[in-house]
Amino acid sequence: MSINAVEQALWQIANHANEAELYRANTASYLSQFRLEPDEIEMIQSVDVKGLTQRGANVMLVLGLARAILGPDCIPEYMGKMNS
Amino acid sequence: MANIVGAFFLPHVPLILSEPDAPPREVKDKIYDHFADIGERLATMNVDTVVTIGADHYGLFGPGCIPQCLIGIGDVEGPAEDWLGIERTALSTNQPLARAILDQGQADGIDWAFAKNLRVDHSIMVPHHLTVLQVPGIRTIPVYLNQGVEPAIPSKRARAIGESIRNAVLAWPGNERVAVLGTGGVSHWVGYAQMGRINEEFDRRFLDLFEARDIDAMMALSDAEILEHAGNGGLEIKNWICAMAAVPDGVAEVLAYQPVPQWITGMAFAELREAA
Repeated sequence: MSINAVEQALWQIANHANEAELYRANTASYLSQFRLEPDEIEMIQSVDVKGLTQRGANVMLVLGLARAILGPDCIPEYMGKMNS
Repeated sequence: MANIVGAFFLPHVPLILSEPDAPPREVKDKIYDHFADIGERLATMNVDTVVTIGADHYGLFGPGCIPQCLIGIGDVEGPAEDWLGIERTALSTNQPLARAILDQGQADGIDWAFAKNLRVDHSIMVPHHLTVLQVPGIRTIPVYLNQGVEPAIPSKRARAIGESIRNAVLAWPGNERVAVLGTGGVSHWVGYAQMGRINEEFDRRFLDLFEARDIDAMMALSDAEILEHAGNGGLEIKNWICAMAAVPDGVAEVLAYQPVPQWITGMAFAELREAA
């Protein structure tokens, strides 16, 4: 719907452990609360950090999503995706 | 009468605490020593209150409300991050002076947002843990300037806030000895494809401006220039501008500069001591 909805979803997942847990339990159900387009949902679910950044999402939120979903040791994978 | 006795400038990158052993041992030790050195200087100057200027990283404040400037006037705890490597704890605060800074700001045309219950992030907690905690009894007043979410606070506004903080302290009837901590910077790219890049040339040029106390030249840097040459993390020099404005006639000295790629940042430590 808008990059603002994407950022809202990323912010909740990235910065609140309980929200990340709810997201991981059922990603589709969790993301349905936001007005997201199908490709935006796909980018979040696949942790497509480069795509999200190119779409205009704030990089700190994108990095936070990666950390919340891929774990604290995600930086090499994150950098690989960003530079792919 | 209260007084601002100086300002200090120091990094706040979270990796210092969350990944302490990422750099070579001698580099880590040196950086930790610089934080400790500033703690000793605070103690020597009998500082009892620090106003710590931090930057939210789109973590504390979400898309629903992004304050350009915020002051904590009530209870404060931190860190917000459960991965920072330190226990969450309550910070000792100076709530009366914080409220006075808020009130003075309103008189000075500063549209502060304020928090009565604030959980601070690494930008306050890294300096707190490595520097401020070394001084028994010292109290913290946390301030946030927005640099993490576009549009960032204008540098002109950051300067005005520093000036207003000074006005508030000088008008305060207490006996506090206050230091302002400008945290963050210098060049680093957080989350971008070039994360890990450090622009040492930019950093050293910026530190030359600092030692010349050329705040006007710092303010002349546009956000676009800073983003290009120092990354999104480089916008944290607005915290330096704010702290410098609180000590307008201070004697400036760069205490140390070290690019630390493992912590993705050009790390600078500096002091602005109030002229005697």
